[in-house]
Amino acid sequence: MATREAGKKMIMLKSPDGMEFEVEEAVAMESQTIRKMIEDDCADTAILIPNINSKILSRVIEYCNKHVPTTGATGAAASDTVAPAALAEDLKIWDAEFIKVNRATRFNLIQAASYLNIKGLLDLTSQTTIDTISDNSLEEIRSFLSTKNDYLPEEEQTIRRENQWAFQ
Amino acid sequence: MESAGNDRRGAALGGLAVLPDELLCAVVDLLQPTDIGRLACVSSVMYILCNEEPLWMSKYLSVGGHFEYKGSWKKTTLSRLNLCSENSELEQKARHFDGFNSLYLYRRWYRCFTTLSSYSFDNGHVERKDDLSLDHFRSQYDGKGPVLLGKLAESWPARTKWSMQQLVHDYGEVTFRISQRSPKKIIMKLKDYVSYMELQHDEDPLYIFDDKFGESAPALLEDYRVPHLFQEDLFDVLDYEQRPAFRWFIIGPERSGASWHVDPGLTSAWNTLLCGRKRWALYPPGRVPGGVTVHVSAEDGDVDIETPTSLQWWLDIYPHLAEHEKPLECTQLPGETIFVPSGWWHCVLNLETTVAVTQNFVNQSNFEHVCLDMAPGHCHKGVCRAGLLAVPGKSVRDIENHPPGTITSNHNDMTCTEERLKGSGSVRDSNSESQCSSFEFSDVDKSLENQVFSYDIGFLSQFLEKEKDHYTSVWSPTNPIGQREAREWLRRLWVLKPELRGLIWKVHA
Repeated sequence: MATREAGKKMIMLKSPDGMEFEVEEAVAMESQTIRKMIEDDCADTAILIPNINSKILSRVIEYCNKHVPTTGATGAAASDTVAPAALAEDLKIWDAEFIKVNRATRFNLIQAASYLNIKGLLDLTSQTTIDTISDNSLEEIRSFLSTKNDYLPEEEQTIRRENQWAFQ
Repeated sequence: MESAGNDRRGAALGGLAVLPDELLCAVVDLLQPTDIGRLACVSSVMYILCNEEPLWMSKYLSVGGHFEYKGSWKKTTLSRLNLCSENSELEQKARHFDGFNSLYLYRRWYRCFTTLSSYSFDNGHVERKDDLSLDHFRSQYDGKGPVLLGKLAESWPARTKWSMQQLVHDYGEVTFRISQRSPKKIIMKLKDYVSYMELQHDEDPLYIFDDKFGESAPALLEDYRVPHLFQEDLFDVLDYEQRPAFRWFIIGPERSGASWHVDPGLTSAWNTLLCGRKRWALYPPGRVPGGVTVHVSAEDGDVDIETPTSLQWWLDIYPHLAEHEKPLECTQLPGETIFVPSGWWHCVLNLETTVAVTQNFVNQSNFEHVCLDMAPGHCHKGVCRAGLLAVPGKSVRDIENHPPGTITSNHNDMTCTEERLKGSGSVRDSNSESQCSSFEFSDVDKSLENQVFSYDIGFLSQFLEKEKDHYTSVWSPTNPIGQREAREWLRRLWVLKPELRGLIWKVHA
């Protein structure tokens, strides 16, 4: 239910496992998907977020809380007192800490960021995944992703030859 | 979406299997070419994702530069980056792995290889005339509705000289500009473009859309004349370097075409087709097409259109429109000229290889609209394009949350989606006199409840932000000309076109 509290409009987000999260509307609107729902007046009551469990949703909200412009964790006047460059640096450090999660959580966060259309979070989670693929050996990539090498031996040989240019 | 028996996917993707194919493609797209080549060796499904042609096209477009197509985008990109030698055996056969299928990849492939011949049906919604007198054009069509004209180009040398064969013969070595949603500028010789065009099967093929052909191939200017109906162009009074881009030479294969847009600065346009057929769809001003979202920045009035490609719109959205939601449509044939009035939404799909020339212009009929659009502020820009949906009523909250001056990084978008748009009548039934004013919206701000959108200048002017003026406000980056040029333009018009002084005075006030 959208309620007013200390002049800030609140909105209720519900995960499919029954948890409810009350957040500021501005925070929820970091998600372009939720923003559209609110702007289209489809959000009078609580918004059910399908496919995203409460564990992941709470992390997403944590991210949005930190990244909502002007009203960060430190209060409404953050951008007036702190230089933008320092603020950006602070966010970067915060992001790096935030993304130190296990693999399954990270992939679930990618999925959530994509569904909720939160560009910053999608970039952060995708980039972290990309970093583990770049400059690692095939075996390292496989073990990081728990991917099975499902090539037949002769198939693998041909494919390695075909992609020889990538190993030079 | 994946069937139960699709276990190759799970094993071959490991933890990434939770992501849908579309998202996987987006993640792989972030990798460097060599990382993509190595990832392909990890597993079968990775191999498939890493060998998708759209992926390599996107990789090439992010590099840009001189273009020479090698038969596939992967080969083109690798040879551009000197990652493989000219004669290496990259020409592998398409690999197939049992137990993996992807609806997303299939649909994309389908768009690349489908035939468009069924879209040539013309139901006659856009009127066809041979020619018109200037008076007839002004009273019936200019500022009112589109029309196809069959005989405006009859005497042009271009009618015979602008066949693909002849153009390659005459201009094969000339470099043209490519229009593409890509971060890097791409230019190519006509002969290279033509060999690309013949080999490619891209969903959104590279499209020659060149506004500088008058400089790179001046002889082309001799092959056509601005038709008598469109002679008046008030931007003429500016020097060539000062005036905004106004003429384009266009070549594109089947599937290419401009996605939904309103012409820059609310200018009007004519477009004459010399070869091939083009499918046109049009909506009157203020009527946002289905699947399209308009963003107008509250900060600087920057207008951004979020839209699928023309092909995607025709294949995925058009067939689902109810009869009253459908646009005006026509299939333009070689030799025909289409007139697109100021503010009209349009989207073009080339049904086969096409050659065309188009010019945009400002005349007495759209002069006030063009001037209005350059005014500071953003609300009127939204209303001209999205109608009453753009009225801040829904999005006023944003503006309250961020009083002017505190908006920094975030674009304060005014989002107008088609869901909110409920046209009261069919576009097609409205007769030409009332076409522009027959749309009502049932879902708008209270104070405007009884207002009917009209593209009339008086109606649109009420959305100007009175407290803003040209001296203290930002000049929108999407305005066709700079602030200084705009002032110079009005000054020259005042001097050179005394008959316009009444209008100039009005727009200045």
